[in-house]
Amino acid sequence: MTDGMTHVERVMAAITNEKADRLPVYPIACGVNRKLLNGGKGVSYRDWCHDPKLFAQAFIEGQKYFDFDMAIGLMDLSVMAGDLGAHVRMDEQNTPFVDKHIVNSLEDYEKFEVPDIKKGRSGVLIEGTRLFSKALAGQVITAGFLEGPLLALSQTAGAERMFMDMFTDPSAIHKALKVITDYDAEMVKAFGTTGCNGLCWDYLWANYSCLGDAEYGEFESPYAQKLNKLTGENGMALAIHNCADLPHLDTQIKKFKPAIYSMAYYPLIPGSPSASEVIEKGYADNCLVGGQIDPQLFIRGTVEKISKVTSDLCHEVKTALCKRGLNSRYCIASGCEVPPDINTKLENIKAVVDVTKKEGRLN
Amino acid sequence: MVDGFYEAMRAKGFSYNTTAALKKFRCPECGFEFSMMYARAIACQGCSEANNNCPKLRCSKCDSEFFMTDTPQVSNDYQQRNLSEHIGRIVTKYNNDMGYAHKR
Repeated sequence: MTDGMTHVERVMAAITNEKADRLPVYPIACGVNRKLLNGGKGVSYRDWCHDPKLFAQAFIEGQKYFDFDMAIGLMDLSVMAGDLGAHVRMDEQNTPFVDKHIVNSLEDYEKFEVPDIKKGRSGVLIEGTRLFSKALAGQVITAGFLEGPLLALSQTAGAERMFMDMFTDPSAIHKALKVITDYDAEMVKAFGTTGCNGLCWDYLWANYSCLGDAEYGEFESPYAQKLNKLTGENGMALAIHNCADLPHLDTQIKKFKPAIYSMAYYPLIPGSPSASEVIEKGYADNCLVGGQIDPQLFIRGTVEKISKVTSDLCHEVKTALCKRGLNSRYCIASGCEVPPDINTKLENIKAVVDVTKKEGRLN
Repeated sequence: MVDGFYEAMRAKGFSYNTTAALKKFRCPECGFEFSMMYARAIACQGCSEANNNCPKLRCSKCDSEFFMTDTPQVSNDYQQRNLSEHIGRIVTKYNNDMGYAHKR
């Protein structure tokens, strides 16, 4: 069955709530695309995330192989922490993570400095985004990916440490957040020159499990609003990714007003919002919501299982959109990044795209 | 209880123990919502057991004490031991860094 619209036309129709031929689809396949490089032999994660050409080529090959509707240039969540001075453990094939934090006293929060964004993995991220955005321009909607200030600080200082200091010495936290916001602002301006259509933010701690409205309003919302505004001023659409179990939807969708919001669903957690609940409660009225296939299914599931899950999600979403009087404001996606694990099954990613092309058709 | 959220956080570099220590739960006595790190930072501050792998938590609102196994994120004694050791290490380092005594 052939599509009646181009990828760009379909996503733009979904963002503006116009009629589309089918639901857009984008399993957040980023690091896993490196398996398609080197003639299908793949490259190591370490090589992929240090070389802008390999970083970009993976997205280009991923687009050719899977035929996505978007490309979002997520690397991992230790890019900023590493460039701020934290030690990042860089295994051959695993997602890197911070294993030595740099905050050992309250004074250390005052020692944060904006690094040179042309160096380190920040430079790789920007240059890589420039390369794949140029190569995929006109084919799909492209976006850069950036960590929010509170996330970057929690990675740099250590999450438990930061939370303890938030409760006892909030002014120290704010000093560091101001510097990291400046770092983010430099990154936004650089992303604005790459030609990507949007910028996707990860404001990880917008989660009622960890922070209430008052705490989130104090420690992230003001910084995020400044950066969201800057994103628009630099010519990029605002996108937000949040894989929390109980996300701050009122703040992040209704207040921040992103064009695209990507979220997860955890059926075992009471109160975790399903796709139909999100649509029924009006969060998709002015925003293209994406989700919510369990990322672990891409490793542990079979093609049959993930096809069934995708098909069920398509029907759930189409019913909810119809009830709400919306045309196409939902993107079939994974709830979080498709694990960049060497055991992730590429055929499962392909199955999600293929099933959405068939079962996601809109009348 | 292990669920997809822990997997998602682990993929982003946050261990099970980190996520469990930061997730809020309700005090079984008064219903006040707080996290284990909040308890250690406020109600347990200065307690000599806090950096000694204490398996208990203290509510900063009603002052009641209860075991970690009474929270949804800890399902058995082994997990409680693992998590209390993790939090104990963090509190010990925090006290050392800040120059706090390990007792009241």
